[in-house]
Amino acid sequence: MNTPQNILIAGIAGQGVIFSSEVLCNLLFSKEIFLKKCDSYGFAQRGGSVISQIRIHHQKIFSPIIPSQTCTQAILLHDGQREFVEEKLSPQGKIYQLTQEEIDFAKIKNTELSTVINIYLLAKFLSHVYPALLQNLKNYLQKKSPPHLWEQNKSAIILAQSWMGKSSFLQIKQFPIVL
Amino acid sequence: MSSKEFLSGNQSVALACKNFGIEVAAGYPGTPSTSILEFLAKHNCADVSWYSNEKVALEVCIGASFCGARCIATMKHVGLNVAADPLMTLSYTGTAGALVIITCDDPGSPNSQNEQDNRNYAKFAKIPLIEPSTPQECYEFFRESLRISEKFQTPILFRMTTKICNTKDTIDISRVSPLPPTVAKFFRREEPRYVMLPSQAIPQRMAISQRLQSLKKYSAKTPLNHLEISKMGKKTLLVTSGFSYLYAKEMFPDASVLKLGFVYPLQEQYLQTICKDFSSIICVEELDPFLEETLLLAGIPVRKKEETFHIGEFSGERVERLVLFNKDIPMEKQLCQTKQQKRFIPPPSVCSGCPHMTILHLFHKMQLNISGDIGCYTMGASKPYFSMHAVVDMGASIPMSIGMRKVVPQTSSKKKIVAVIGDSTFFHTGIQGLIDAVQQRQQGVICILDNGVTAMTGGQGHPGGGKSLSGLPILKIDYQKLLESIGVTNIVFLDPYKPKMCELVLQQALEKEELSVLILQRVCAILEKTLKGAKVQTKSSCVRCGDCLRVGCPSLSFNSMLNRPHVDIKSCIGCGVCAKVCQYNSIGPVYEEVDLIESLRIARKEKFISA
Repeated sequence: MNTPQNILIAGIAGQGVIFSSEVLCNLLFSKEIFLKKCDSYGFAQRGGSVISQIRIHHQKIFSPIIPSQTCTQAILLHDGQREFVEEKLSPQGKIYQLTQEEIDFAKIKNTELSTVINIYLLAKFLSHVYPALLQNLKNYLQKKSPPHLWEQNKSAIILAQSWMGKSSFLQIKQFPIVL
Repeated sequence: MSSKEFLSGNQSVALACKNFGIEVAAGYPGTPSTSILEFLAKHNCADVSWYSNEKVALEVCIGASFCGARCIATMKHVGLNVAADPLMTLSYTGTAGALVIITCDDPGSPNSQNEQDNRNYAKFAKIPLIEPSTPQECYEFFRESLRISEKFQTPILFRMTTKICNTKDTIDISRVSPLPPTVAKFFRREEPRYVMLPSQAIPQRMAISQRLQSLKKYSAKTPLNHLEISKMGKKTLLVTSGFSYLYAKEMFPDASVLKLGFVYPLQEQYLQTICKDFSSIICVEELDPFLEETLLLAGIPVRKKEETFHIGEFSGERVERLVLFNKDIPMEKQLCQTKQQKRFIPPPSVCSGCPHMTILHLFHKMQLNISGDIGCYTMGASKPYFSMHAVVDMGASIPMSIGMRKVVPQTSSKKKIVAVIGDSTFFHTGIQGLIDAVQQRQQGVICILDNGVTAMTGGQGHPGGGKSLSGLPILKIDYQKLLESIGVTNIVFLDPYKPKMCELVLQQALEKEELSVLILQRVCAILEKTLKGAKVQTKSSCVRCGDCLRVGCPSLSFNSMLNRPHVDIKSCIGCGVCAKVCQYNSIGPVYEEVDLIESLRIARKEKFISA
């Protein structure tokens, strides 16, 4: 693969954009690959825009900023960022976004809603793009989650896995990388 | 042992501070510099503290440096304006121990009131400027900064930008050798250079010139500056530094690049030798033409950057346009990247249950002219309040209101001028304005919004908050005693969650023939989780007057399905301000968390499915 894998996570304050990108980078971090991430969060605690850009390649990457029309996958947490994401997206790129039906199906409804939704969406993203890392996500969360949240996080991952085969996202092109 | 870590620019600097023996770290919070001291405090290895402003923080470091300690002062770019007074003379006195001033610039000003280019301060103060491009360079260059500072006895300006602060990359600390520890600390009182009397100024100015000459020689041999020659031959040379280097390499990987890490002062001969073989030289630099001017002064024919590239943050596409600049493309199109990015960003708002909502709402309701300041409440300038009418810099609210009252002729207009300032800003540079307001026998109202923290940057402590950087309790300044000692006679403490009381007191204070200071005290809503009260919801008795919506709480919005305002139960913290504002008693507590919107949506969906 000669081009880097460019992952964009976009949302607004309080949705856990930085949290998701931190978890993802923790899973992807390896000494053999080049991994870069840049967060933009001006007025992050006041409902402002939050964007995290992640770039992965087996060759050296210079800028952590994803150039226009080169984003391979985007996790969209707020529809207000759609236009920005679409401008960055490559013609083959895919957007991952929760549908309302998925939230209903998952019946994820509790006080830590946004965090669990992020885990769900992240697990769904991983199950399509890096299936091998799903177990790592479970291990990571088991280690890092507060005890009262672990069960919810685990069920979010299981629900994401159960959606495989039911969602139109299955047509997503895979970008294998050396890990 | 693994020596590779995945760290941000700010984390790398904090790690470097720990590993290279920083003893005193001082600063004032300001995005994007804030997290450097927060990360460093977690390492628990140095004296790390917030101070009331950047000037004080730098002066603390100057004192420690005079005693031989290694120190850093951190601040955002506009913070260096506050610290500029000691900085200019510090250049004359020089240092004993290493002193690195970290300035975090904000190109494109996503977090600030301007996008000033602080590289100019290095030239202005005649001190070395070091600019990293990556987290690895943040770590390596920081070590080198300490070494240069100790060798040349000069303060160093270490310039980062928002993107470098927030970029995470793999760094390898094993590539960097350790720095020998500093010798025993003592204050050498016999040093005449520490006492900057007029008679000392000229001799020290001459010493600066000598120091700059030595630093120029150093700039020609330091590994911080290097030339990357293209295999394609010596045609075009890109001269760049900081984050712009990454964009240049991303867009033109095969171009010849002069990468500068030690940006000021540069030796003219060194630049001339490098540039003489290239037919075209272009400076790839964000904001001001700093490198361009340096090269032009050295007699190097540089292609001048168009004015449009002096504005806003760079992107890969903008760098491409800068290098392949076509004069036929109108200026607006050259700037389009910045415009597009701004269009996508949702406007920021106050948080649900923010204690500032009440006073911003009252300012709007009473049609007052507000002299404002820097903080969360500055968002009162936008919808739905439009009640922040002049905001310039930290601490300007009270002095600006004095100036306004001095020239506005009518008494009724004078009374409509109100100054509003946050607690952290008040201790930063607001107190001086208040002293002058008393001295100038001002009659009017000053509101201090006290939420206990520097909320805008994430809840850091300040002298009125009573918490240190490490979370330990410290002495809390008593507003009552402080204001009384200044000479304020009418001091009123208010609870912003009681809007009717606030309105009454504000109305009375406006009528008084004396200076009134109203202190609205409530802990920041997003930081104090124990605040949560009974959540509220609108009732069917609502008459749709819109009073509650004008409070501006983001949890409250008009719902077209219900045809009345509706509270988002999940984000409501139960402050009850909307309920207290409602004249018709149509907002009441919710005992059972029933999300009406969701109920309606599910009902509609079921209806659709059955149909």
